[in-house]
Amino acid sequence: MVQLQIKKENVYVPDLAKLIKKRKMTEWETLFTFEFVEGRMKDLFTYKPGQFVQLSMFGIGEAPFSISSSPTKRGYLELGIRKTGDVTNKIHELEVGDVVGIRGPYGNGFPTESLKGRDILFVAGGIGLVPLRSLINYVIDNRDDFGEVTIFYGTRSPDLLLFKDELAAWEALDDIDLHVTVDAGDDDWKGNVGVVTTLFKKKKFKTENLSAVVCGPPIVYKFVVKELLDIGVGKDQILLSLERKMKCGVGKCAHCQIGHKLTCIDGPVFTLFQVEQMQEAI
Amino acid sequence: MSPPYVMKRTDIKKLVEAASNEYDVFGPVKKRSKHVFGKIDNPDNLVMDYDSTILSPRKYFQPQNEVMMSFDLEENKVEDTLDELRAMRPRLLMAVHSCDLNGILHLDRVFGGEYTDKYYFARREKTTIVGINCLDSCEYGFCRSMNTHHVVEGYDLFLTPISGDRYYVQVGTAKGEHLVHMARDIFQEAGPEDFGAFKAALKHKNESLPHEVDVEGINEYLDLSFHHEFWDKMAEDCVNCGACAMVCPTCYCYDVVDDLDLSLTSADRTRKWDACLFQEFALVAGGHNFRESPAARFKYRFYHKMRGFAHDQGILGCTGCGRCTAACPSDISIKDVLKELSGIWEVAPTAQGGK
Repeated sequence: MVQLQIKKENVYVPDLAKLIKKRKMTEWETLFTFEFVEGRMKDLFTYKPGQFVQLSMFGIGEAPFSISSSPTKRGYLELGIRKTGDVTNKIHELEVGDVVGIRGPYGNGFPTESLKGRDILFVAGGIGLVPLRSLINYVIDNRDDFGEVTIFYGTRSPDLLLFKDELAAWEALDDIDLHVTVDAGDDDWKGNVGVVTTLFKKKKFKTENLSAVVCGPPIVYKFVVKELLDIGVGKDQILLSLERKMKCGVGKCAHCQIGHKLTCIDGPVFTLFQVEQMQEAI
Repeated sequence: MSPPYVMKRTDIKKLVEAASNEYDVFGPVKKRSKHVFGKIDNPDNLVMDYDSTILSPRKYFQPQNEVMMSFDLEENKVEDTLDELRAMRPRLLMAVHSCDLNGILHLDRVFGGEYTDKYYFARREKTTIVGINCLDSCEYGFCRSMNTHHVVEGYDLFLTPISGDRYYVQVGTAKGEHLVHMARDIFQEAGPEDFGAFKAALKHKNESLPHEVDVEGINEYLDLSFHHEFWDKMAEDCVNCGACAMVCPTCYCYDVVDDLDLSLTSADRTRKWDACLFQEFALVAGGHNFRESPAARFKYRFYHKMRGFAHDQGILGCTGCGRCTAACPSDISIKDVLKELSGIWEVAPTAQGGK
């Protein structure tokens, strides 16, 4: 896939984008759909799954968000956002038609080319499904390019499940093996109960052609990585998308520095092999 | 290489006077018992022979506070401040030591690259720098240990004090040559005898600057001591005030904040110096702090400068200027930290293997 680079005079100046759709997913998380105000941006703004943007709420601040839509769907941008701070609280107050600033895309994204032909195991913990959804839908839209696809998704409780409609759609696909679990169920919950690592008991993997793509809160990585190593996935085939504080997104402000790497430009996707070279990465 | 000149040291005043027609002139001035870089409105206030300054000249390229852009919230307009910045009067920065010239070269690497920071380079391009050779050591510095006691680039003119109360003047760039031509009559082309005097000055420097800290192989002993109790011991004294980062010529971390106007119709976005020592530096929304403990933050600052930056950029992120030691309220000396570290060879979990 050829990526068009937007050459901008000032990398910190955002482009204007309009909220065109708002879909509440849980009490805390909403999926926001934006489209650029300037028409030419619809063609110029291309991205890879796993990249992120900096979203400006003018006068409140700017924060990084993973792109949750797949680049196979052109013309709009979906961001799944949890209400958890000044900027995100304000984003949740947006109404359709309101204008924000967006700049990017930044980060390396997932290595879609080298994943071609491989079996993929997605492991998402909680809000980690937001960035993974971009790659999952990319894989579904280019299904012949990839081998067996498995999704493990775990969250705390049934009311916190994200993208419920899409989970049902993925479930209905013959060539996607979806397993969902919650830490604690409720009266209506008939699915798996237990943390996401308990799903590894559900399936035997052939690991010689398997790549794992992992995203979740910090606690998830250590435990999931252990399971993946136990079943024999190579360290260079375990891909982790990391979260860090970011202010600039372009390798200057240094908030996201880990060891000798910058999460914003060298990451946010790192192999486990790289992560082990970076002190205190997970 | 452009041919060098010589000039009388007292003629620096004439140079500053001549340059004032075109430039705002900045340089070391006295501030109580110390020196700072400040505006030179009267050439008599310029101090060419000074020990160190409180802040490094970084402040001229990355100010403590910088408005990056403004927002018109009614019209949804974003306007950056680059045009304003490019319209600023050219600046002449006088008497920058070799350590600080190397510090500026560090910043050039950080703010350059694929995503060039136009604010930084607008200021950089507007500034003409006259460097000065230190022939004797200063109180806290250890430039020779860090190999920053000399420069190959980063200056427009570079002065070395030589015999006869003169400076030997090397011209680094066309900007430097332009400055020479503004006061052409105070510069004489250097002859063979002047070259001899220049060599004698360098010989003196070579004999007088101490080599105090051994940073060869520093990556090895940093990796070996990542989990060493030494860091907890050092961090007990550190109050995480961030003074070391504020005075550092190679620290560049910044925070970005929006300030909403009272009318709620406009806002500014400003970046401000930040420090990895501060508690919120690695705190993400939702409350997870990737470097929660003060010890982790103290250690990180060393590892970034001496290990991470070096790995990434091929040079250590420290110029040996010694300002952090001078500024530390707990008397933590970077020289002592490095010396102690280089003595840690007992078996401990390694940085890469130890979890």
